[in-house]
Amino acid sequence: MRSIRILDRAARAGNPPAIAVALAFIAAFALCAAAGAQQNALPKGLPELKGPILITACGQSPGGVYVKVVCRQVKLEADLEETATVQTLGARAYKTLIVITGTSLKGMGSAGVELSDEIKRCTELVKKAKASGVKVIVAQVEGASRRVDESDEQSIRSMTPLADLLITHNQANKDGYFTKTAAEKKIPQIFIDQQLDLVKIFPQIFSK
Amino acid sequence: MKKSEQGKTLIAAKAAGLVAWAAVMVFAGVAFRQHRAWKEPVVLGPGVTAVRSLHEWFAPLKGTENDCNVYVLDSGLPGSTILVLGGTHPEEPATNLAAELLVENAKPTSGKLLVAIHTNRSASTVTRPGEAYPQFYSIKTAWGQKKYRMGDRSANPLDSWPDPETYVHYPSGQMLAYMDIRNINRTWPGRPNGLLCERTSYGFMQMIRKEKVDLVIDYHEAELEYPVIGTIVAHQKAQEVAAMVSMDLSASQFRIGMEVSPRTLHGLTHREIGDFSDATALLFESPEPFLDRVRGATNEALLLTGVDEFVQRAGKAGLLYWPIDEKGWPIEVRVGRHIATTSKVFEVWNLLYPEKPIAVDGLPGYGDLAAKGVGAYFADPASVAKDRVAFE
Ligand SMILES: [Zn+2]
Repeated sequence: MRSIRILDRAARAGNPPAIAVALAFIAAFALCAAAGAQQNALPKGLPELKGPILITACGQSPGGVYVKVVCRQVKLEADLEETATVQTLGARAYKTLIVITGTSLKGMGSAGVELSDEIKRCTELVKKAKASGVKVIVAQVEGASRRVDESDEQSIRSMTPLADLLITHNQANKDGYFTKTAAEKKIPQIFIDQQLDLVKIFPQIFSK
Repeated sequence: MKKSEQGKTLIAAKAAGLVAWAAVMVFAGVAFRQHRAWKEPVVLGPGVTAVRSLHEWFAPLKGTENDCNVYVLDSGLPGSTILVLGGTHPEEPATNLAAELLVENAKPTSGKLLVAIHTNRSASTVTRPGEAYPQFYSIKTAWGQKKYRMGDRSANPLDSWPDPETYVHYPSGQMLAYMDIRNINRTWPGRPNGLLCERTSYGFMQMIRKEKVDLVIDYHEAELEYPVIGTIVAHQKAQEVAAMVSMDLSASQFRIGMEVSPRTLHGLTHREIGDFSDATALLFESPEPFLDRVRGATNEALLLTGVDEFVQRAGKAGLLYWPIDEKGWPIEVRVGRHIATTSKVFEVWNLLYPEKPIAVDGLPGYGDLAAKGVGAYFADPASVAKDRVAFE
């Protein structure tokens, strides 16, 4: 907790912007967490990854918010666009597209989107990305709680085979679907145990 | 048997039936009355600077069952103002207990806390006899048992009746189930001339605007059969706070997820408070096996220990959205999750908004609370001056 107080003081002195301080706090925490955790093994044949990153969720799950917060922390330029389209992708010189799988709508009624429209939107986005040399990461970062129903399944099964790199929460892979798909499609794959793992993974896989 | 004798027997039988019915009505009436009239003492902790009433922000609530206490814990120093709502659904006891724990223990050192223990007080004066809910539950403390009213999800029909055929939410026009007009987490942002819960939400919205509240935290509990559980639901204005809290707590203390409030689902705190005021809103859900449909005996023990073999069996069959084992989900763990999440929100809030800090001393950590129990943080009302006790 000592680190937090130091960061607090720095914030009050008005030096780093608030968000940087906040993210540094998580970084400090991640380092502590990482010390005890096993290393997340990096696979061979990783695509060359760079920012800026466009993040979108196929099914409006909140996973993109986690990834955006992590990107800010490790100083990777990233935009989270709930309804990113082919036009959004063209609006900036994005080098990487991250598509988050799993859906919202868990017991809280409709988020006002049809899953079939979401899948169509993201499939077109991935197609355009690949055509323009933008690398595609498909990520399931919330584990078992975001793989509970048919809509999660549709989101996952439509996006996962399209990836240049898979990032998968271990708890989502209990049936081995992600391992099997990665092997069949020869997609490099990284597993995480918690979202904070991304804080140490991203600097290793993205070059500045 | 002669005709007149038959008539006499019939009259006697009817009279006996009437007496039996009257006895049951008196017995039930006394029980309902005792429950509705029971007052829960709250010892005002070192941080409490005033106890106000909701009607001070919206006068027509004066004298209604929902003119609840609003505890003010003002550090006297600038910072954020944060409103905590307990008892939105009084059948979720970790919510009012966590709010009460704040009132008895929290001491802000910058910014201000406002706390409602029974946000929908009317709903805490009725329970669900048809589902065998206990009327009361007690928390063990070093100085004796502290007794609480077990409540329902919706306001007492004695205070809000009749329900409409269809409840049309104001102002969205969304159609909701008729009884949801008594569920205060479907009546935000409320309206001044609506039914009781709509007026109550409106009163809180007036308070949020006048007191310039920055963040509202709404405590809840959920059944393990329900997918929105063990999570923080955030208005989009607070989604990064929620993500950071969720990541940090999940890595360090306990698993807690995050959901962003759907934009098209109306009447809920995490949608309407964010949309209709400058404040943003977070809602926390902890696991309460007592609410599961597959539960066994519905009693005080289940309410407080969260141990139930049928819910466990449902878990083994893969029917639940949240884990459960023979340890259940005891009340101190559920309250502990709410308090620890609240503390973490404050921490993250200060890092994101250092110009408007909220700093609060006196709150127990998750481990301490789970080990010592909730009662360890409640003072004996008999041990303090009378003006330091309020009643719920
Ligand atoms: Zn609730």
